[in-house]
Amino acid sequence: MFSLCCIITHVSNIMIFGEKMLADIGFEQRMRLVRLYDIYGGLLTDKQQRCMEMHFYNDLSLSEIADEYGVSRQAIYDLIKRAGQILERYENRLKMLERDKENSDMLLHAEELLTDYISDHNKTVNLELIQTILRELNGKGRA
Amino acid sequence: MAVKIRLKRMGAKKNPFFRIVVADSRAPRDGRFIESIGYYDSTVQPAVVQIDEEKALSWMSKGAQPTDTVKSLFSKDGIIAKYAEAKAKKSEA
Repeated sequence: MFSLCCIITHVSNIMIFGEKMLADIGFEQRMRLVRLYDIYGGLLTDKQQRCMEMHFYNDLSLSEIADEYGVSRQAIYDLIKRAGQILERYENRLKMLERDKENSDMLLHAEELLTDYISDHNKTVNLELIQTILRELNGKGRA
Repeated sequence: MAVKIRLKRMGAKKNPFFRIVVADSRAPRDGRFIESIGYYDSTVQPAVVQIDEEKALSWMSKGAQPTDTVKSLFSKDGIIAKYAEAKAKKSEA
């Protein structure tokens, strides 16, 4: 009896873990689309924009949006999927999200360096180091 | 009247920040909500999630439905598991 219990808990743990992994991937992808929409959303049609905002900003389900428009859930699914593909296509060509990420990583790194430096050296600042990083950032911006 | 637990976007452009709100399912787009029970902040690395567990559990026990997105945040924090546990206990008693 005891060992049976163990097996059951074990199995249910695996199932919970599996669910979690799936949900994570969905969530990350969702956040990516939110960011892409922030950048390129203005290039979509009005209807695409409204649906994307309902789905990604206000977390409405596909069927809730479908009810709003009086169309099928499938129609909204297609619309949102297509809009997502358009956003990915813009990102492929323009890489603005990628560059935003690189820039913010570098700025974060610069801030850390500065914070460490200040705490190690009694509040004197190495301006040259900051200059190097900012040059790097500006170079990236022009490339 | 169905009540839902949803994410609601706040924050500036390119700085997504979401509140976790309890709202009537039929008052969606203008963003009226009943209560805010936490947030998901992706403006910082790594993203910060803060959930008022007590409120989340009490709303769910009253029948509020979390969306799939909110569910995935809740299950990361173990709230879904706790809710299932509490429910099981209730039906035993």
